[in-house]
Parts: sequence; C-alpha cells; structure tokens
Amino acid sequence: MLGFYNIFAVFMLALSVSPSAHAGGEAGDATQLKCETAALYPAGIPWQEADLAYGEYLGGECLGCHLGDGAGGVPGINGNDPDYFYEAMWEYCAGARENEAMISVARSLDEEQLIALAAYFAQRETE
Amino acid sequence: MELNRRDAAKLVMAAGAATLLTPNIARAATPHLVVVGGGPAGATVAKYVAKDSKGAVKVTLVEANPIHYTCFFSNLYLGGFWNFDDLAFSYDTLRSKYGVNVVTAYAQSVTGTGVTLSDGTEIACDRVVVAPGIDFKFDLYEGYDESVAASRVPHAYKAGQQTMLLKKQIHAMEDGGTVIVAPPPNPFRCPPGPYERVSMIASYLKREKPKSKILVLDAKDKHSKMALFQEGWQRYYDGMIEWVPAEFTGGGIASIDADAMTITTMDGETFEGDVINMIPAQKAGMIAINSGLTGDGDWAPINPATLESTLVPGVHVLGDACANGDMPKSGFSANSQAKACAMAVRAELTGSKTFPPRFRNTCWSLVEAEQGIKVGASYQAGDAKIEKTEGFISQTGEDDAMRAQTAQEAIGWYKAITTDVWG
Repeated sequence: MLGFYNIFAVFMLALSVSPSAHAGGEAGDATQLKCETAALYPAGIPWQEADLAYGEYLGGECLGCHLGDGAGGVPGINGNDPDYFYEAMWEYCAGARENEAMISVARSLDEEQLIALAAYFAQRETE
Repeated sequence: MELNRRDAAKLVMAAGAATLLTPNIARAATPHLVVVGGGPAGATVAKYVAKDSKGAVKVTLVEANPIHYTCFFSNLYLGGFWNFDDLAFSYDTLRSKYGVNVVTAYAQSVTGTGVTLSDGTEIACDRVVVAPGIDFKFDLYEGYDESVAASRVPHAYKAGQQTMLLKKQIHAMEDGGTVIVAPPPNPFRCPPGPYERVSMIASYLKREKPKSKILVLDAKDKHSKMALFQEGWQRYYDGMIEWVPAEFTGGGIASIDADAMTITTMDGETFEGDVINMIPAQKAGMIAINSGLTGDGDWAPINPATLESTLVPGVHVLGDACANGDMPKSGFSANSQAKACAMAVRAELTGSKTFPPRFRNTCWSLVEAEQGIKVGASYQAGDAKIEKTEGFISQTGEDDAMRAQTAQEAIGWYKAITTDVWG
C-alpha cells in the first residue's frame, strides 16, 4: 500500500494544478471527485466493513461489460485483490488510467460503493 | 378415549395430508412475476429477480421465440465478420441455472395482475414486466408494410430473417450497384446502428464489389457519432458513401415502390437502388400499446426509479419500449434498466432491501474491421425522467491502436453482456 499512497500524493498534486482530460467530466474541479478520500484509511481500507450485498447490486453494472475471467479487450473482474481493485478505480477516477468508460464509472462511485464493489468482486468466483 | 389401530391410521393419514398441503400453501404464497419479452431487458430482469430472490419469487418469462438473435452486432454479420449463429442465444441457462419458467408463447396483453397469451390462456401473477422492444410505423410510408419488408425491402432492424435477406441481397448485387439505406427519425433503437451498418456494408463492398455505392437517405440532419463516422467513411471508403441529411430529403422517406425498387423522399425525389434497406420510424412493441401502457404517445411513460408504468400500476416497462428519458434505446440501456427494475420488483414482492438505482449505457460501433468507436454516459433517476449526469465519446483523430483497442473492448463487452443477460 505504500506505493499507492505515493501515487495518491502525486495525483492529488496533479489534480490541484491541471484540469482533467476527461471529455465529459467536470474538468479540474477536484471536489467533484468522489474517490479522493483514500487518505482516510492510513491503517488500510476497512474491508471487514464492506457491504457485500451492496457490492453485489452495484456489481450488476460492472457485469454488463466484464466477465469474471474477462474476454476480448475487457479484463476479468473476479478474484482481484481488493486493494488493487480500489487503487485501479481511484486511478481511473483521477484520470491516471486511460479509458473513458471506466473513468465515467469510477467518477460515479463514492467511497462506500467502491469498497463494497472491491470486496464483492474479490470473493466472487463464478458468473 | 382409547385410540384403536384404525383411528391411529386415520390420524397418521390426516397428518400426512397436512404435510402434503404445506408446500402447496407455501407455493400459493410465493409471489409470481411474469416477464413478457426475452431480449436484453426481459431476460435480464427475469434472471436477476430469480437469482437474487433465491426462490422467494416465482419467475415466468413469456417469449415468442425459442432463440434470441441479438440486434446489436448483427451489423458485423452484414459486414461478413460474424456468422449469424454468433448472434444466437437460447433460454436454457435461465431455465436450468436460475429456475426461470420460460414459456414459448406470444403474449397479447397485460394488466398489473396477469398476462393474456394469444391463445387466450391467462397467467395470473402479482407483478408484470413488459419488454417487447420496438414495432414499426409502416403506415407513414406509402407502399411499405411488413410483407414488403419480409420479401423485398428489408428493414432488418430486428435481427432475424430480414437480416439474412439483406445480406443475401447485398451479396447477389453486381459490382457497381447501389445500396440505399434509409435511417429513421428519432427516437429509435440503437442510434449509431444505421451508420455502423453503412460502415459494415461498405467494408464488404470495398473488399468484394469496390465499384458499388451506398446512398444514405436520412430522416435527420445529425446523428449519433456523426463526426466519427464521417471521418471513418472518408478514410476507409472515400467516395463510396453519400449521406443525404433531412435538409435534402425533406425529413426522410415518403414512399417505396418495391416492384420498381425505387424510394421517394419527402421532398419528392426518387432514387433507384439494387438493394434498399428501409428502416422505418418506430414505436413501442405492440403489447405495450394494446395494454394501454403508451397512452397517447409512442412509448410507455415510467417512474424513473422503478420503471413502473405511470399509466398501469403493477406493470413495469423496460428497454426500447419505455420513454427512457435521456438514455438511448440500446441493449446496454435495457440491461441496465432491468437491474434497477429487478431490485424494485423484488422489494415490492418480498420486502428486500433497496439501494439507489443506477443507470449506464455505452454503445460501441465498428467503422471498419478492428476500428472501434464508442459513446457512453451515466444516468440517474430524476423526478420526471432518467437523466444524464455525465458522458464521454471517442475523439476524432484517435490512432489505429486506440481504435483497435476499442474494437477489442466491443468484443469483450458483447461476450459479457450476453452472458449477463442469457448465460
């Protein structure tokens, strides 16, 4: 997680000085991003508090594009380390990963939702 | 009183009868959802209610066809990149894995408490979901009806026999022939669909019949992903495609003469085609209209959060047939709406927990093999409609690697969504 917080610091700096490249987003307004509060978890993300039922409901949206094991140009979504999942989504949210569809998804989530999703897909094994 | 052997036997029988009765009582108390239509909206809501209720809701799916052929990606079949069977999905998994009772029948009408089939059979239930897709306004066009469409001038806008007919006609056409495509006025199913179709037909013609032309007689002055398609048409099919906007058609098509293979615009200009793909103006599927779900309009008004009809309580309308606010009519939208609806229906029938509904759409299109573009957005349930919150679109000038990546993404999406809906 150390690497994540280094990245986090860099992104927060970037967001403070440059507008987002995201076509449909509220460019440059960091307060609009809902995924910027990772620093709330200095002791690690509290996965034990994740609402898996909420994650399952929200995850329906992900399954419109992702298979558990992936297909074509869309990666699999099952069984990822939840910290990795969380970090990847935060990077999309911050515009540090390039995929407009995923940036749009990430920016539509809040902390509770992102944690629920990461925890749900970490333990999901089949379609 | 002392029980003799015969009395004891009676008691045992009575107890047995009571035991036998219990499951019947339980079954009677199990709420019943009937879903009409097994496309991306209907099959998704049936699956999700069955899966998430874990037997607490009985789910029946009424669908006229035993196999569903997806309209989305049928243009890849027209372009020669996919086989028709690649578009085919059965209801076997909904039956075997999720316990959905799939009835192959044509539903005639619905109320909030039941569904009437075309043979007069009535299915009583506690809640109904209607997802019939689209029907066509043939009466707007002189000389055009379902029989002309089925035999000579296909719309091919519901994947099936007409899609195969259109491909056969294009393949039979001689090099140097003209294919006319007439896209419909808004709103209609799959806004980029006619233009992806033009691209895929052009891709085939470029390979096999490069002297041929495509004439696009549009009912609109602008369309989905317009700059992206025009960029692609110029780059890959320069000189092959002529797009005529509403400004020059007078707003679309007035009549068709299938014997002469001519099509006349509302401006009165007549064009001859070797192949004519006429995509008519659209409205909600027949059952929505028959059941009073559309009121005086073409589409069924709904409560944005639950997709429940504002006109007929107890009936939810999903997918292309509903007045879907800012969402486009697409398979992705239908699948997304179905999940919000499934949650609302389950809560209504079992008291299960609800979360704020979420809606999303992304439409991928191919402009040439391995050259993909996309448009998408997030939506939320507003007070009066499903409203857009944020959107994105591919940019003109993207490099080939990005376009190839988007095309691969489209393939991955297709496999995932069809699994989410039917698998």
